[in-house]
Amino acid sequence: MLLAVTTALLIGSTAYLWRTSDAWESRADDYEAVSHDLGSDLSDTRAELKATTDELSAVQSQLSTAQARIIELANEKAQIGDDREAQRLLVDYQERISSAAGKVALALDQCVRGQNQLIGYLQNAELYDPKDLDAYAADVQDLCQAATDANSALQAELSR
Amino acid sequence: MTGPRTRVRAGLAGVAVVLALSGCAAIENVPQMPGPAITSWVPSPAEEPSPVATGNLSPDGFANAERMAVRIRNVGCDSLSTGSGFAIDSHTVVTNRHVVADSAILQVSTYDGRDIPVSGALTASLADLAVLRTTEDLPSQQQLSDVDPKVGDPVTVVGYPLGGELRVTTGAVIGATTDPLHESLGEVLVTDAQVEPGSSGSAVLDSEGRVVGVVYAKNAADQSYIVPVSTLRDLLSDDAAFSPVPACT
Repeated sequence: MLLAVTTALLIGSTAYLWRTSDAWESRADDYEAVSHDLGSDLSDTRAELKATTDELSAVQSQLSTAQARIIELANEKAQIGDDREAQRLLVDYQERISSAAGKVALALDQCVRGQNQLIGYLQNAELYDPKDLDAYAADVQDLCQAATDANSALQAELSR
Repeated sequence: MTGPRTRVRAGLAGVAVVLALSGCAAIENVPQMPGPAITSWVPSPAEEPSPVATGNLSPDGFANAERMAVRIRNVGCDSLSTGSGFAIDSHTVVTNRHVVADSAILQVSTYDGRDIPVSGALTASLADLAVLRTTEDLPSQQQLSDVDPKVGDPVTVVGYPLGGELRVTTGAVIGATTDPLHESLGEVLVTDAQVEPGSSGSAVLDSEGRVVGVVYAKNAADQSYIVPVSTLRDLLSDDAAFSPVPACT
């Protein structure tokens, strides 16, 4: 009797453990399949991440290059602007010098012409009224003084 | 697969025998059938962080410190000079008084080469400071610090040394002194940040990117003098502190 009960227990226990083992084995197979899928996904994601990281590095490098170029171009534009303004100042200066020199030349010409005329009058002074000669001499003096003033203005421009 | 399975079954059978013989004393240790299978292995994604502020980011990748820096061209009656400045709001540039002195025309350009028209200039009589007003928006502006930097604090200078490219140089505050040029009341700060002619008017920034001073001179030892931000703040808050720049003759 005891042997029969023991045998029955053994058979029942063995059957239960057999089924349990099968169930866990099946579960392990399922999980292994899932782990393969997850591993594959992880590998793909890592590859995508690396590609994206590489692309980001390239974009950052391009951005740095573009920024450096923008600063270079801004500087080149600024230097051109400086040159333009310097040229404009130079042109203004040369115009002032040319204008002042022209005034000097004109005034000197009038002074010389007046003095030549005055010399001619003085060579025949007896033909003219002394008061008229004095007045003409004063006019010539004014012309020559104007030439002197124009020359002073020219020298002032040159020394600026 | 059959070898391990057979061994497992044999082992289980042995265990069953042992259990039966031991009167099932350890029944709670008997292997259980697997529970419900786990179907979700990937945790649900956390809420993606979204930026709440742009911080120092900008549309073109330039730092705010660079975007707020401007180059100033002073076209005088007989001379041409350049200096630096920085924006403190969308239409106001701070620079040095000597940068804008004796000018017939003042021209401002930005880090990316854009020209910004200037509508007027004001200079302070109590410090080597000046303010320019622009008719168009400046690209960016910088916040003024509430306090002056202390000795040892790191500083960054952003400007256009020698009228050339935009440069960022670093250094530290090394002391305070009375103004050697007698341009400013009170003390000015000395730093070892390298500056050059043309750097005048550059913003001096602290480690947080806030303006802590304005470069206005250097000495033979390559040390730079800066007007502290407290002086700048005091003058900006006083409408009578600034007066229009007399044009050159």
